[in-house]
Amino acid sequence: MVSQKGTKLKPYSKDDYPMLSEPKYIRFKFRKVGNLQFISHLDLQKAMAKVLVRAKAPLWYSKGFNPHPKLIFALPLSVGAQSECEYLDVRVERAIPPLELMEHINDELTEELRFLDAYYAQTKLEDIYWAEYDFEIVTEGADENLAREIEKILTAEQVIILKKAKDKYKNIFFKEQDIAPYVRDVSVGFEDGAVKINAKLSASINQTHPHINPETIVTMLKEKLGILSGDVTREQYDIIRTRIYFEDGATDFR
Amino acid sequence: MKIKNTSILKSVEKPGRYSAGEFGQIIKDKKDIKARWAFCFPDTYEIGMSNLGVRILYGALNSEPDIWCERAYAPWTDMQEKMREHDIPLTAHESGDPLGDFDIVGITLQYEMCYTTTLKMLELAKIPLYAKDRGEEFPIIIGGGPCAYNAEPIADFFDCFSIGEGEENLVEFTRLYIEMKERGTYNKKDFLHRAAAEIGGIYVPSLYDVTYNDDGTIKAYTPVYPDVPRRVLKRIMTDMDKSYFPDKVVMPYIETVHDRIMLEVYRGCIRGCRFCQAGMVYRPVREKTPEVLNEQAKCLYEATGYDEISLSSLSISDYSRLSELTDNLLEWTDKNMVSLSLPSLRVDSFTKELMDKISTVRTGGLTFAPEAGSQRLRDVINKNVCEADLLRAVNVGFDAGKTSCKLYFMMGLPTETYEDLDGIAELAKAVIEAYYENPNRQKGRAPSVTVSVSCFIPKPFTPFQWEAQDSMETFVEKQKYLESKITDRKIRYVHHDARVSHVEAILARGDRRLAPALALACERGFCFDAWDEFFHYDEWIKVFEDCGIDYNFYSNRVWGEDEVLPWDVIDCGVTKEFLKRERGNAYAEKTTPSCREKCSGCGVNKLGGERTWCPKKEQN
Ligand code: SF4
Repeated sequence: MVSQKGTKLKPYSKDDYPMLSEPKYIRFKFRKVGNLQFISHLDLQKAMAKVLVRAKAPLWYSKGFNPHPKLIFALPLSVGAQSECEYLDVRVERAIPPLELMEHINDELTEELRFLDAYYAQTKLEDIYWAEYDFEIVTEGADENLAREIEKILTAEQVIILKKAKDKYKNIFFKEQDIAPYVRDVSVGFEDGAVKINAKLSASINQTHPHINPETIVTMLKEKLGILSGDVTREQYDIIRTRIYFEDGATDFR
Repeated sequence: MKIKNTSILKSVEKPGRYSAGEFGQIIKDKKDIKARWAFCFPDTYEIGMSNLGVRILYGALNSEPDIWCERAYAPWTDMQEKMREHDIPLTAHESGDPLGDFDIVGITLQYEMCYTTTLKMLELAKIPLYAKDRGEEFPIIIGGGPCAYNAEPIADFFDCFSIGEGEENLVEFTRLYIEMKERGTYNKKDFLHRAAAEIGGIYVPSLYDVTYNDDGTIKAYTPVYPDVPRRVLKRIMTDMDKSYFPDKVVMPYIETVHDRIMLEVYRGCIRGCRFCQAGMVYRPVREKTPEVLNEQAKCLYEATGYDEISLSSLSISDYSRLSELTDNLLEWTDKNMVSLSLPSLRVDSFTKELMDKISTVRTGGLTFAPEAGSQRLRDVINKNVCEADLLRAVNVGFDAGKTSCKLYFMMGLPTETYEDLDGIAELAKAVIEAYYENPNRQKGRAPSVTVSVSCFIPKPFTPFQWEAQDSMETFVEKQKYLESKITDRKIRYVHHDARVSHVEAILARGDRRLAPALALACERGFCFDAWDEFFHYDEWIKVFEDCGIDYNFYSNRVWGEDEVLPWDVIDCGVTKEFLKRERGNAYAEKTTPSCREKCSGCGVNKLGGERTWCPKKEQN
């Protein structure tokens, strides 16, 4: 694992770049995998602010008593899920070429958290509609049959999950929800002793349409099939978000 | 602790504690490495990551190309359960290798209540607790940190201790280890013997025979070899400007206790409060220059991206060039949205000027530590502040619109009477009155004062090291009394748990005969005793009783000044004569000037040091 700073870029100052007439958002795409899947969204936000300062990003700061930079993360991941396509919008006040800034940022990061692309944002994060995930499940007795069973569940007319909800007295109860309309392009296979699922789930940053947490898919499969209930040192599952799409579910979000 | 199994990580609280992979962690190629260190902090990751001492020593050891130092922390109880369930040993953070595979395991002992966690870590690492039970196949276990000044209660579990500041001596220690390994002359016994004889500040407990008198006091400590020092002299870094400074920092991804830059401004303390161990054992004061500090602060800012710099030292306002330093810092911190903070302010230094400059002083609460309620008792403990100073300081705060104030006191100090306790209540009342008399106060808002009272613990290497701690009954009585004296609803009274302080006092002045109790405590599952929810007083007492230990012998007894003390085997530079003299001054209610005003001849100047207030050591 390469985790140390690579070759340091030439020293630079954010003052090298001209001020923008008005602050703009640079959109970054980044990876969060391996050990970093265990870092919560809140912790990631705080860490990222420090990374940007280390990288000398020409951050725009809010005015007022307690100035702070503006960072907007799309689709927070839950702890225990990895991603190859996280999006972050950062407001900058100077005209730094995004890819150049990205290099400086990568100099302050480890392999498991790495920026992959950068450009001035042209679309809104609200335009995100679908997210594609790879699930890899290693569980006792996994075989081709289990893969078929899972496929059947995920492509059925109705895909019922139990959703946590609270009544008006704040008591927690579970209610059924059919998520079939929010799951598409499912494929399931069995390879190297693991069941591999690929699927697109509805994704939204502001609830204009449902956001399906990939973890709920695993929870549902656990309940329906009794998988992943054995020895934890031999059973495990991984979730990786691989791509994000616009509403058509085919055009990559950018 | 680094766990690679994701299923286990998914099943515990805060898995980020164990997953590692931080930016700035040091990974080395094992084939270049001649000695592997695991530096353990016997508490959680969040606390350990915030410790400046660990940061310094991690950096110092890793600056040697053939030494690789990793970190290890105590896994939380939920993870401990998983480890037991699946037979997973405690591992180091960077490589994930079991602690038992290392050459040297270092454990920093920051407070007595971490002893049980220390033993738990050894147990989880499947390393036998007692040093005598560990063969050549196990790592060398070395302790350090403030508790190493009297490590006797846990001495049997360690091969050796590093006394004082470890930047140089841990490297020398490892060099000797490598040299003996390379020459083929290494075995644990010879290595420890040579380390004790040749390296300053290495204490090897097994090289001293301890005998006891019939009355339970210690008769003698006798070195078993003639070339082992009778007393182990602590090490210090003489020139703090040139002392190793960690310019690279491991950046935690999860929130830790101190997510900010900690800029060590100086070591030591000029004051000499008579209850304070740190004020004695970290002597002499050695300052850094503002120029060096400013450079170091910039460097840390660039390496971390933190938005706060905390100027950390025992009593920051005693730094002789504080205003120069803050001016230098403010030149660049303000425009980079970095704030400065000062953790510890004396009442006599709390000024309008400082408040204007330092944002945390501006925005934070008013917090002062008069420590004792009456002038008489403040003179006894040599806390050179008076009521007028305190009232002036709170008024500066009230002028600026503050309405609340927190005051720290200690209960059970030597010579304390109920009148002194009345003084605590009166001082709090005086602060409330000062508020209402202040014409610039925030009109229409009521003031609030919090009185926080801890329990006095006699600590080794202080003028009060011979004093008795109050009994539990007395503490409870005094706490009730004080509570009854505080009737104003605007004054909030909180006090420490006397039961914790009692156990702390037993361990602080303990000797080697406490080892069986600690081993039994570990066997009974004690861990994280510094955490309220895991501290069980009755079980501690039961452990002592089951081991046949008269625990009050350690805590509630006035020790004789001519007694051999368990920590006499350590020389912290400050002489016993000085401590006795200071104790005499305490009973005479006589204060001692700070080192900056006048040297009181504590003896530590024999260690030298740059930018100290000490007279130069005598040439001989
Ligand atoms: S030698 Fe004198 S000046 Fe130096 S620390 Fe001791 S008392 Fe203070």
